[in-house]
Amino acid sequence: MTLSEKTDEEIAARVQGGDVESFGLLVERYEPKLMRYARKFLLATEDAQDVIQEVFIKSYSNIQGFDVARKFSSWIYRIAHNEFINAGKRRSRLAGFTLNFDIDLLLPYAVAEETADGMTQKRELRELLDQSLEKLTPKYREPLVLYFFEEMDYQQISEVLQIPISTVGVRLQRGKAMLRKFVQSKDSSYE
Amino acid sequence: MNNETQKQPIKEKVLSAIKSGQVAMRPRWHFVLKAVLAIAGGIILMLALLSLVSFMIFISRETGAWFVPIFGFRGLHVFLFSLPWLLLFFLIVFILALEMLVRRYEFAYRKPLLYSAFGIVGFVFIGGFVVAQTSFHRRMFLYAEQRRLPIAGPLYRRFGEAPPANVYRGKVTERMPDQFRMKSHREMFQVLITPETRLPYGTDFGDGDVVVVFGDRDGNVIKAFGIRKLDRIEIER
Repeated sequence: MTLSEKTDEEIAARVQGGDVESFGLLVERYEPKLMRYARKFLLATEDAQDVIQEVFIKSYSNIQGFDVARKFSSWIYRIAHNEFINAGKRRSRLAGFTLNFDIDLLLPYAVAEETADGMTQKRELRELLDQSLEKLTPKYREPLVLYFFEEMDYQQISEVLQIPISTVGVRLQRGKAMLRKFVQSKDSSYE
Repeated sequence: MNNETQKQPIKEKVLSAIKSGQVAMRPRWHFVLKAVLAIAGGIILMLALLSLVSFMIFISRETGAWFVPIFGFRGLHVFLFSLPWLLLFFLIVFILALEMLVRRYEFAYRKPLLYSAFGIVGFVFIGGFVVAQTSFHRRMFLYAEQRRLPIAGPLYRRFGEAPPANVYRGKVTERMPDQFRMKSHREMFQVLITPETRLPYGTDFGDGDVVVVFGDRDGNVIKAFGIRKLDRIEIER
């Protein structure tokens, strides 16, 4: 098996063992994904490169703390999430980034089960999201970006954001409703 | 950053930073130590919380405040006002600190915050009640009274020897039909029983029994609003 055929976790284990070059492969695999995540979440491209570079540097520094029995993608997206939050705080024009506590985290929600959006519906929502990202606060924007663009499931989003799975469902539901409402108000022909 | 560096792909920049030694990998023991410190911190916080809750229960029993809510609204009022608010404040701070600590772990953050908060509060109160059933605080209190408890001693003396207003705990020394004499920790009292006196556990108490009297004091005479006899287990723990 060549190095490029290995899983992220297997490559991470090699990096932990001192193979620096293998880390380059992880950078190659995750750079486009994290760049897309950064652009959609931070809504700016000018500093996305610097933030992503910092994400990889932090990942390398802390890779001994990664448990290879777990998913590497959730782990690196968590680092990215933290870096984006810090970048958002630095750029004060991004409101809503400083909120750590949310009532959604407190209560159990029975209604927030994972829904299987059909392919057409998913594509339609992705397009809507692309057009209206800036209308959503980071609290709703981020789970939508992870779900529709990074194609994560509720459990992975819960690991990245470190919030309850039911809260992920609630935020996705509310985010989608906000998007539809926004589009409806913009275009009355939309149903 | 010059134009040359800006054009460099992220991969090259990251690898060159690693190879040049600008970025170092933290050793494994760093993460092991962090985990050990977090676990140790959690255990210390839990022990502190169990000690606080059981101590609060112990001193409430010791001063008699624990037994007065049975005398109705007036008793409940005295009980609530006798609570050690400073200790309660520390209790809340420690619970919040423990909650913040456990929220970093998957088993906690995956579930709503209410679950972990209820789990911690439930554990602390049930555990505190269990510890309060043992003779641990009784022994500590005795050492404190004998000045053999250097650090916690003043805490036991301050809270344990300061009963709330109108609550008196003592041993019956002489029982008479409508009154009795009682010896408390430091004083002798004459307790008057009137038709209005509430006796939820009846009048079946005599010489040598330990009672909690709730009533207005005039000199060394207490006009009892309520009297409750303590059983052997309540006295010993």
